[in-house]
Amino acid sequence: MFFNITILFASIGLILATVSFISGLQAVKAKGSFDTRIHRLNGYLTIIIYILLAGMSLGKTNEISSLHIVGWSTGLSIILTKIWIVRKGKTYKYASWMGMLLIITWLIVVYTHIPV
Amino acid sequence: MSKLILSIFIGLISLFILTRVEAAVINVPQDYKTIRDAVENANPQDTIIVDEGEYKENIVITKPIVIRASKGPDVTIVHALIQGEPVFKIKNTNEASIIGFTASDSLSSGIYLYNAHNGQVLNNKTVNNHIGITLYSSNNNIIKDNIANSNEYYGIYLESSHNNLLEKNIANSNKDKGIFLSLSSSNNLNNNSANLNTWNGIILWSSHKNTLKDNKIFRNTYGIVTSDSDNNDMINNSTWPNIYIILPVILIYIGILLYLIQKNLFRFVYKG
Repeated sequence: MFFNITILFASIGLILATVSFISGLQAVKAKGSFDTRIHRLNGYLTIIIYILLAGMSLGKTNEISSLHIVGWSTGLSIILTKIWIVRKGKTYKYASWMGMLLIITWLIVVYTHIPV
Repeated sequence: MSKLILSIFIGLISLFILTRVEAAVINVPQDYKTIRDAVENANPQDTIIVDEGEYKENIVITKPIVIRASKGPDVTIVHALIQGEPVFKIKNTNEASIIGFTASDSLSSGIYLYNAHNGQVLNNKTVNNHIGITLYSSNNNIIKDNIANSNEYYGIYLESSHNNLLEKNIANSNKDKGIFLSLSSSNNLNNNSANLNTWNGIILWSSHKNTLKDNKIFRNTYGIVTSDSDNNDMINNSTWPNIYIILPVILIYIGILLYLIQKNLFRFVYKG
């Protein structure tokens, strides 16, 4: 059957990451709008789904390969770096690039979880 | 006269019972240490039951016997001892069956049927061979519920083989083709999956009157390819070569819509 639970989570993750990315860009433009709240809400939900997916992916294989660990860790480090940059106040300079990197991360997550 | 008929009748029944009794069950490693020894000492119609474990052998079957792994392919693994030979080879016989093994590490095939007819290859895994399952000049066989993944060339390969049933097999991530029919006609391919193969999911080359029904062929370079092949029936097969592009575009589009919905929802809630 062309469905499994991981592609569902990965799809939801990409959708929420897109919402978070757009609202983040809008929040930079107009401070104090609802976009900051939307950005945070969707961003944190995205992180939870990412960690859940990583756990499921690493947990279901009998032998955890170093490539898997490196892949998931790289994604997590991009997420944490993005939060750190925003908290440091370098929003204008780097955050949109990091947001774009996060979208690419989620695209990779979706691609690798398309069932066969 | 009636006594003669009666004695012939009794004789026939006794013969029938004797032949039934002769169909023995041989256990590996209890009766024979290796599968090969068990096969060599088996009589036609015998069943060889193999316990779980890893074996390093090349097994040639030339008589109608059944070889069955007691606990299935995940725990009953046979590696090729001579890598240039198939792990299992059914040769010049009818009605031989291989059930429930993993066959790997052959530079030929995991399971090879050569001039073998009316046989069964069921619930096996053939991985990391040059070809997963090969049928050469073999007709009327049932190839069902097998996994032929990650082989160097093809998952399942038929050459000059006709009237075979290939059903519910999985041929994924092979480095050339998933399922390859060459000079093979009147075969039925039902409910097979051939995904993520480097070139073709399923290819018919100079093969005619085959029926391909309800197969799933995703994420290959080419889905189903026919070359010099006529009168093949293609019924309800799924080929989604562009799913890589379609799915992310749809998801990002849903993301944009969800952003607009959320923004309006927030505005409505906080203004209210």
